Amino acid sequence: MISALNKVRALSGRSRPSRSKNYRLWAGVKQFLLHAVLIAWAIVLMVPIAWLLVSSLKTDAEFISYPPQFFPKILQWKNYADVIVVAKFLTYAGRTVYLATMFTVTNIASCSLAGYAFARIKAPGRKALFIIMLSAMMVPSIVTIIPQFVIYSRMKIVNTYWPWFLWGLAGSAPQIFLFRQFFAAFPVELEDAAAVDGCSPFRTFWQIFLPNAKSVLAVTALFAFQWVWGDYFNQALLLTEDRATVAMKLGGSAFTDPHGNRLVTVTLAAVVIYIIPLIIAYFVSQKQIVQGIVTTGMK
Amino acid sequence: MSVIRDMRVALRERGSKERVPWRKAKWFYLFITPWMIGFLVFTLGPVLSGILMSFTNFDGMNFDAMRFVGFHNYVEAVKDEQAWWGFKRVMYVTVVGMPLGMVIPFIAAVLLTRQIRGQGVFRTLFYIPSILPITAVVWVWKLMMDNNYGLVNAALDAIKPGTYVRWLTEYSTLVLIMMGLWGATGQATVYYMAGLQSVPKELEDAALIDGANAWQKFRFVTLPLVTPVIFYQLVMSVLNIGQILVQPLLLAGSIGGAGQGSGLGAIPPRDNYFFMVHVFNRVFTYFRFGYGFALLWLLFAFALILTLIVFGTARYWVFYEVEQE
Repeated sequence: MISALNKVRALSGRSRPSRSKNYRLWAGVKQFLLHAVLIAWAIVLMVPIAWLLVSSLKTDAEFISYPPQFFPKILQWKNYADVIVVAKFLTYAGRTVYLATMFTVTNIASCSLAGYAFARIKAPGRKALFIIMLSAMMVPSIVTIIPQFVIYSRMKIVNTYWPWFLWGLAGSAPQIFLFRQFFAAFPVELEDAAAVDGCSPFRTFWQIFLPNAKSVLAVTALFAFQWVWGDYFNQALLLTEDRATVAMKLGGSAFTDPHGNRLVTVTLAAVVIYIIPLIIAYFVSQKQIVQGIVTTGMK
Repeated sequence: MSVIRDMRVALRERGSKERVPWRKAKWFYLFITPWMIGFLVFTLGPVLSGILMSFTNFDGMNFDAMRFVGFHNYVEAVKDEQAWWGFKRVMYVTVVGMPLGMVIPFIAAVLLTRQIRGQGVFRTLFYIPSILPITAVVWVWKLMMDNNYGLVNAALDAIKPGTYVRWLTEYSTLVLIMMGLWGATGQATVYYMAGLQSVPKELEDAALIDGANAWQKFRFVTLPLVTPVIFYQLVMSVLNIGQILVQPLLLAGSIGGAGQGSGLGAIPPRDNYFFMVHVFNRVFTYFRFGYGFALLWLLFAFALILTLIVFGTARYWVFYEVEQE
């Protein structure tokens, strides 16, 4: 842009060498300042996470020592083994994965169907329903969870995994919107050709649209999985200790050993293990995730 | 944002009749059935039953013992001092936190959309805190701010021995605000960046050629074009006023185990006893579902009125391009 501007200046005969030299110097200073600000800012953002990593490699004695000991003498990689062996992380993570898989599969099925319908099938009332669907996003979840809790307790499915199955089937507005936006961009000829061949709308959806929607499927699946993986509130509300998930365990106090002693740094290692899949997923599909977030205006 | 834009388009076109044969249209209804049932059972049903519930003494279990009590719950709610306290704390967080929560991401987005080396790395680093689930965020911040074992107190102690600040008990709201800013900045930054990047380069270049300086270009070209995104952010945060619940519950209790633990049953320090915490407490500890809903609707009505006011101001400062039909 700067070079384009200089070109304009040159063409209009307003270019002055001394001024453009100053300009370049000023541009250099600006770059430097910008970098300084961004680096400082990034450090402030990253210190808490770095401190989590460092602390997770300490012994509990080092962690509570006074005067404070900033770095561990020996890196306690054993903490990470203890997360698995002593804290039984995999049991809790297994439950979360089970819940998340169930929710993700049903959620994708329901949302892709509804998204396809909103994008491609004309019917009376479609627009009104579309508006209703989007408005549903505005209802705070606390308002809906209390009556849902009553329903679930009447159905006697509190402390089971059924609520996640039902939530998945019910779909979710941002994801439906995502599918709808994606399917709306497909060419009409695709449908017409399928209709001429005698395909039912379901077959058109299943064999033509869905196989071409891999990127949206991936992002939606990721969002759904992430939601369950990170959701503390619903799990803590509906499940009890014998069905505890990772989020529930990490939302309470630290893990304990069989004698009831707190294992603080082991818990910190568990937190690190807990967030690693999310960070990896983000690095692998950064672009699609950001795109998805921007499109739906939701996390 | 695209959701709002699509809603506006849909609202405008709503009147136009779509004549479709039933054998085709039936597929539409078939495909949306799962969502439709879910919407009725999990959203519309709860909202309606919640309104009804707020006029009863429902305890969450015994439908037999349920009685209509008229506006009794609402009258009690208005007199509830703890609810008012929670509301004041919510307003405090809103007044301090919301402007910061809008301005800081905006500045970040402006810096991150400049052409600089390492842009991708900075964008990633700025976003990473937003990836972390709430439980992880709380652990991270307890590690930073814990009265006895936190990094901040350790650092203060190293600079001036003997310094001891009770962050988690005396400054708990401050910690909560910082935690919120840290955890939410990335998300909002992404929206603002999308807005800033959609500003046509030609317009900015034209302004520069017309002799505008960098500030004028930003103030009179870029900023007006980003106002829809700012508006969206503002509406969403106003609509969700007072929804803070999980953060204070998880932030309660220290790493060392002193005080009550964290979790859904926890009672946070008085400063962090927000409105929703009170509601949650009434509903799930005292089983006063009816009363809890009365509190909820009062807060929701307040948020809705504020949101309408914000919408009312929109025509003075939000710039909407003429949409192509």
